[in-house]
Amino acid sequence: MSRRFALIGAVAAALFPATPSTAQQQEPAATFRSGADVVSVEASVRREKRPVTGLKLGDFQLLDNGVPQQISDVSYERLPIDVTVVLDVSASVTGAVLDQLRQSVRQLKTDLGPSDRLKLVAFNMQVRRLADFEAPASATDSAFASLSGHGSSAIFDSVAVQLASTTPPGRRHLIVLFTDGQDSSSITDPEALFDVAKRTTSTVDIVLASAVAERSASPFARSPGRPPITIGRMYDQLARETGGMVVTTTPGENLASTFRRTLADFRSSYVLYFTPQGVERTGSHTIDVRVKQDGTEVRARRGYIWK
Amino acid sequence: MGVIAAFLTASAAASSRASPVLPVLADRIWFSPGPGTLDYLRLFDHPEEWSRARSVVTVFKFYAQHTQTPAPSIVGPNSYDALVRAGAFRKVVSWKIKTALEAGSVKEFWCTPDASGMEASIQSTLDAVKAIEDAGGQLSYLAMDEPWVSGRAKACGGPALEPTADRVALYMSTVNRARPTLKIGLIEAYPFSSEEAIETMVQLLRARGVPPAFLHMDVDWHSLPPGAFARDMKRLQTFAASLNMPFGIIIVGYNGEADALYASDDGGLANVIADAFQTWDAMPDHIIFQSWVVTSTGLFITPSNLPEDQLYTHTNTLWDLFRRLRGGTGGPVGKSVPK
Repeated sequence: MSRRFALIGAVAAALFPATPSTAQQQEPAATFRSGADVVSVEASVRREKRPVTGLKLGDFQLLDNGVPQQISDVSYERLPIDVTVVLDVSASVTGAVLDQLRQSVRQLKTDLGPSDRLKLVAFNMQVRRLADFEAPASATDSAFASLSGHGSSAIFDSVAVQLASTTPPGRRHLIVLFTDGQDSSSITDPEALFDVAKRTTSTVDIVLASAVAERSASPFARSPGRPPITIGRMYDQLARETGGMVVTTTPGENLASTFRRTLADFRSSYVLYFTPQGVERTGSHTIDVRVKQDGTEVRARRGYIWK
Repeated sequence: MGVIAAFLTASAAASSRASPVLPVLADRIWFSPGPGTLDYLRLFDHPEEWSRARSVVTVFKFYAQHTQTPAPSIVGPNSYDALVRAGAFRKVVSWKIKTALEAGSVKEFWCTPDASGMEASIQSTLDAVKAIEDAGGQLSYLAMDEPWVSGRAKACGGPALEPTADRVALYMSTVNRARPTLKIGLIEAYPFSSEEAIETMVQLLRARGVPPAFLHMDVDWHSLPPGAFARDMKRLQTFAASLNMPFGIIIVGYNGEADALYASDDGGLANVIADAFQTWDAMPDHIIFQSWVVTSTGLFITPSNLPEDQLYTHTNTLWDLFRRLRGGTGGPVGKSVPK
């Protein structure tokens, strides 16, 4: 029997006419630097754990493969944001935690700006898109009603698909992953996930339900010939590759405030634009972003792959 | 399976040294990557990563879902907007590769008591064609996704072939009136439908004045009755040739849990095809390398497409199996097809 049946359900989407969302209809207010040669880098700048505001172009220093670059523009809080919330609803995420997640997503929605958008994805051993960016606001609430925690976890598959989704010009993309730890179902392995991460401009923040045990990130999916990576290192590397952060919560902690913090941190990040000079226009590049002020900490993606 | 994997390993190593581009008849090799693959967009952003495979691909087939907004979940990151931004439809034209679209014509949800279901089906396809053209594409082929599989549903009339023939005829004639140059062909499942039934389907359409422009077989090679495949495919090939209708076989894998397992599946079907047709000249007019496999996690991300010099990627498998079917040097355990 043919497996082409699997495609049939999705065809039903064609029955419903496309209706651009309000956010889509609005032109981004911000300037966007485009062009094949322009690279954008998100940079979160902190001093004593608080965002540093008011930085100008000349306050930054950016190295591409060790070569100083001329930053052509800096954007701050101007570009609309797409937030993709990826929720682990496996057997270990039930009851009170699920309720907290519902409240957290609701809170996140209220924190969005008028041009910002939210997508909701849930996974256990299956990855499900519950509400797309274009979905009406009520869709996320009704989607939660159908959720119950059960099954195993396809964490890497879920994140890989969201990372591979390109961000429309003039927008920024934050992925907030909530999970309690170990992948047990994915086809995608950590190395493949990192490869996708290097090719994207999206930022991944990882909210862990509790401290993770230092065991293999996935008992099944492994790149041939590579040693297994531990869960903690895997999440740290994913965050570093994308300029995101790992937040470890404790049982009973208010998840809504954690989710708010990730969005606020992302919103207060700078976007730097530069046209690489003096480096090979091919392959993998490392990036080092610095701020010429004492006591500041900069978090930015580690590199990019020339497109 | 191990033998096939070994063959792929050996032939991949051999093919990485092979540079000459083999001549391919017009429209012979079709490529349709998994609709939600994570590197689908990279096919267009980095065409150099599959220049060898691309040199023999003559038709690139998109899924209708790639043209729909909002994007159905099966396309994953490969939404219409993303494809347009990557210049996908335009680049296929610039590579002098023809564009095909696979769409549902008859599906359960379109088998309504009144005409509204088929009207929606037709409109959906016309919207898809327009979306491709709006993005700089030029659609040459429209492949109907197994109407007689869905057509067996109770809502569509059950096992009788005629009700589906009526619906398909309406679909083809209406779409062709709007797009006269579009070649509309039929994909059907074998051995889900018998060789005789598939011939009957074609004849029913011809009797309604809408002969299919091509006939493609979706073969579940794991379910083949012993000895039947070669006999039935050759009969269908002869039948199609008598109607001047190109005949093709889709090379597809059914295991989406890993690229290697998928490639092994692909290789198995290629072996069956090689055994059946023996020489390149005798091979089907169209050979379609396609994936619609779904992973256990519910995603259409298998197999990876790139790079073509990495074992088990879809472009790597395409090249290797093409060479094998073409009569190129096979691996040490492969059965090379004489030219």
